Amino acid sequence: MRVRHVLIALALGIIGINLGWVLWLGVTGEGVARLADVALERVPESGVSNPVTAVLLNFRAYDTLLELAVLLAAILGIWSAGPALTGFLPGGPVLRSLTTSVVPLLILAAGYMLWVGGHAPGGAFQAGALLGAAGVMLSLAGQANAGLPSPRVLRLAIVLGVLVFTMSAVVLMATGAGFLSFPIAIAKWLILFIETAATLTIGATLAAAYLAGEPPAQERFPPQRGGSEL
Amino acid sequence: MHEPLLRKLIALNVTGAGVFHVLVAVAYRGLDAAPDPIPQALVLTGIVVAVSATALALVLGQRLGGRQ
Repeated sequence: MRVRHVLIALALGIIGINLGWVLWLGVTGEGVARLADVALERVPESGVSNPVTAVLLNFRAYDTLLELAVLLAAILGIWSAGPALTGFLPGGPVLRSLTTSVVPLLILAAGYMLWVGGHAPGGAFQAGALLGAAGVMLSLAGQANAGLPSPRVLRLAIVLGVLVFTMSAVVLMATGAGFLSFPIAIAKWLILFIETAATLTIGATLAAAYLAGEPPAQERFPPQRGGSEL
Repeated sequence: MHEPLLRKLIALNVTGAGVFHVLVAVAYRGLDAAPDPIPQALVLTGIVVAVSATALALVLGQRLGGRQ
C-alpha cells in the first residue's frame, strides 16, 4: 500500500517536471521556429484579417470541424439519456420582461460578433456562446424548450455546422482545390458561410445541452409573448 | 447528483481553466509583437470541447444518481 503511494507520487512528480520543462522551453525557447511567424505571415492569404479566425477557420480548419463533431457527439449523448427534465417554474413578471428585452439584444450581439470576427476579436464561438446564453436565460425564465425551434428544425440546426463544413470541404475537393483548402478569391465568403452555420449549431447545441435531455415537442409553459425563437 | 462526480467535474474544470490561462499567457511574444494566434485558437476550441464534455458528464451523473 505504502509502496503504491510512493510510486504514484513519484510518477506524478516526473510528469510535473516534464510538463514544467516543456512549458519552460515553450516560453523561453530561442532559435526554435514558432508557428506564430508562419501563421501571421500568411494571414493575408486566408481571406480574413483576424489572425485567430484565420487559424481557426483556415489554417487549422480540421480542429474546428472536429470540434463541431465533438459538440454533435455530446448533444447526441445527452439526448440519448432521455427526455429533458421538468423545466423551471415560469419566471416572475420582472424576469420575463427582462428576458424579452435582453434576448433580442443577445441575438443582435451574436450577429455582430459573427461579422466582426473577420477583422477583430470575435467569431463563431463567441457568437454561438451568446446564442446559448440567450437559450439558458429563456430556460431560467420558465420556457421548457429554452426558446429552441421545433424538434425537426432543431435537429437540422444541431447538424448544420458539421454538414456545411464537410460539404464545403467536399465541394472544394471536387473542384480540385483540396479538402478544406480555401481558394483566396472566395475564402472570405466561404469562411463567413461556415461560421454562420457554426454559430447556429453552437448556440442551439449549448442551449439544448442546458436542458439536460431531448426537449419536449410542445412547450409545457407557453411563452407569455415573443422571444420564442433563437 | 452524485457528489464525488460533481467534485471531480469541478476539479477538472478548474484544471482546464488553468491550462487555458497558461496557453493564453504563452501566446505573449513581447510588447512590440502580435501575440501567437495558434495557442489562442487552441484555447477557443478547448473551451467549447470542455463545456460540452462537462455537460455530457453532468447529464450522465444526474441519470446515474436516479433522482431528478
